[in-house]
Amino acid sequence: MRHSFHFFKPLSAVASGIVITWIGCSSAYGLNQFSYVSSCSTCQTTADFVTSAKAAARGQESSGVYQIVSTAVPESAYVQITGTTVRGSSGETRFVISSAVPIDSNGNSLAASSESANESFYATLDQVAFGADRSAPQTVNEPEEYAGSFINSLEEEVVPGIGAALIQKGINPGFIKDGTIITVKFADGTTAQYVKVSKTSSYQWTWTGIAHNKDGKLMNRDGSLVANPNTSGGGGGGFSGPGFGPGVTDFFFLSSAGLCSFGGTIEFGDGETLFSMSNGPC
Amino acid sequence: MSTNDKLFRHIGRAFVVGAVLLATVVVWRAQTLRAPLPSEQLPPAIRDNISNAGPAALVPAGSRLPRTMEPTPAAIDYKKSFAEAHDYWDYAHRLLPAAKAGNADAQFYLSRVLERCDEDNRMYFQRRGQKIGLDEGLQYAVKRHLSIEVAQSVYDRCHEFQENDSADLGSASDWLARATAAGQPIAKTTTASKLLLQDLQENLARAGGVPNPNTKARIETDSDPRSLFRSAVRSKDPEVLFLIGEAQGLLYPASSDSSVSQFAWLLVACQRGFDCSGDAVWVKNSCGDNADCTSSVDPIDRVRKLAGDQWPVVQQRAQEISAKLDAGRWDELGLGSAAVPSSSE
Repeated sequence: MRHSFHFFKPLSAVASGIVITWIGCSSAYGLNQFSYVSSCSTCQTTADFVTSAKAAARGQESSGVYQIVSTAVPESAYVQITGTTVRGSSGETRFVISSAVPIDSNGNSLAASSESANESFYATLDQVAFGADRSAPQTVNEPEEYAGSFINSLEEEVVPGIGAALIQKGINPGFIKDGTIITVKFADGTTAQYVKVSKTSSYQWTWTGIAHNKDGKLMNRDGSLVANPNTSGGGGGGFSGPGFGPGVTDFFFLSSAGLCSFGGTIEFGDGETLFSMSNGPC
Repeated sequence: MSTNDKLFRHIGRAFVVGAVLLATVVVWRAQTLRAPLPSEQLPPAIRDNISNAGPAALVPAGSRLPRTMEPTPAAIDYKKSFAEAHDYWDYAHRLLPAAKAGNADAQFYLSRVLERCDEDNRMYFQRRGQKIGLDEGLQYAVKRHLSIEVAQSVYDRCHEFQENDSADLGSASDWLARATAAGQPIAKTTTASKLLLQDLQENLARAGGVPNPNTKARIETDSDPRSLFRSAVRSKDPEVLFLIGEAQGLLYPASSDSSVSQFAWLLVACQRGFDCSGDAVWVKNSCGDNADCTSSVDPIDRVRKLAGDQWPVVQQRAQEISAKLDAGRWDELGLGSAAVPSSSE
């Protein structure tokens, strides 16, 4: 599987424009620690992600939160690493890890959860981070006649608009499986994540709670910004990889150092790009 | 003739007359009992008995009560009566006695009516939380390119839920829980899907780090979704098969294979009688007023179009699922193993 690093490409294309203005992280986990993103070509289970995070932490020689994005399956995980750097008799340094715990976006440990529950969480986290299912990513431009902005919009208008937008693209909404997240773009530049919840009911999509204003800042439905308790802290990381689904040529991921936010972009073969930022614990 | 002879003769005549009179009374009484009796003239106790019988309460709306009391009333096909109901308010009230009496099918379809009318009324006949009438609702549906036929149908079936207090009917979630506990297969599958969606909503809140706007009261059950699916699939009910297919993306969220499984289960459900025609509500809800989206030569053709390039694999998987269903190889259906039986099975 192709796995290459194009860290400067996403930074120049996206991070300089959006990450700098990013303040969106409502996490109660406001510790302002080091955060880092890296990829893993074999990760699927909790043990895989923890092993990969430990390797990344040794490389960075730092405690903190490591977001590991699998390039084998559409899953991502947060692993909190605690350790210390020790110096040997000859002066060399070595990072000794004392704990590695998978956590959620609020910093809660996943250690007590079952493996199947954790893997479901990793799949959801991946979709939230990228704003799409990397197996079959879709972008939806909400028709303006339904809702021109997400701010103060109605589900009774946004939801039928999603179906209409998909049909306009030649996609039968019935094709999309339940649990799939899509990012809906509105005419005024606001975006919101929706998840497919039913094939049969009149409400086939529901809002996930994640929306951004036209500047990429996390917001509530009324347009007010979501406060971010994380305002400092080091970190970084990024990578690029191939897409899983048809039409996807590339995706990359990066962290915005110091702001505890993580972003992903999916580039489609037709030149369309889907960018998403999400909260991260740090 | 002696006095005794006269006495015996009088007694004999009296006996004959009495016998004739008795016979007349018996015949008259028998005819009276068989004669039609308007329901409003039935004594309250008898009316209650008929009502509590459940099935007898489900005669078509507007028809009279049965004229004879059958000793063993035929079982009601609740699925059929639900499909044929044109007024869910009336239907729900006719289901209520049987649901209260513990009939699992009545409980499930009562929960479905309550949930469906709540959702459909909000989608078609409310705007910013305010109720709107038929004309405005139809115009609103046209504006959003929703099926006008579905909108009219929602009004016909559900408008009385907007106009009346339905508290006496109970809650959809409560009836679903009772039907699930009683082993109703579609109820079990519906609950399993809701549990998976509940897990998804919780994961979304934990992954996004923001409150989830769709948080609902937790479903209280000791069963896990897979055990509920595994138990329900034994019924081979086409709707159960359809719902299991719909849940594949939730059961296996990171698997690229879940799309194939989804369409395979859908194909099996269509082949076994689930309504996959262009008239099916689930098709119209997906397609809105787009005729190209709803039209298909036949239901199987609909699945073929949905599956696209995956169609050959979907057909193969569907054959495997059908074979396993027919052979009762439940543990091989991708719904987990029954090695540790759950309390629901």
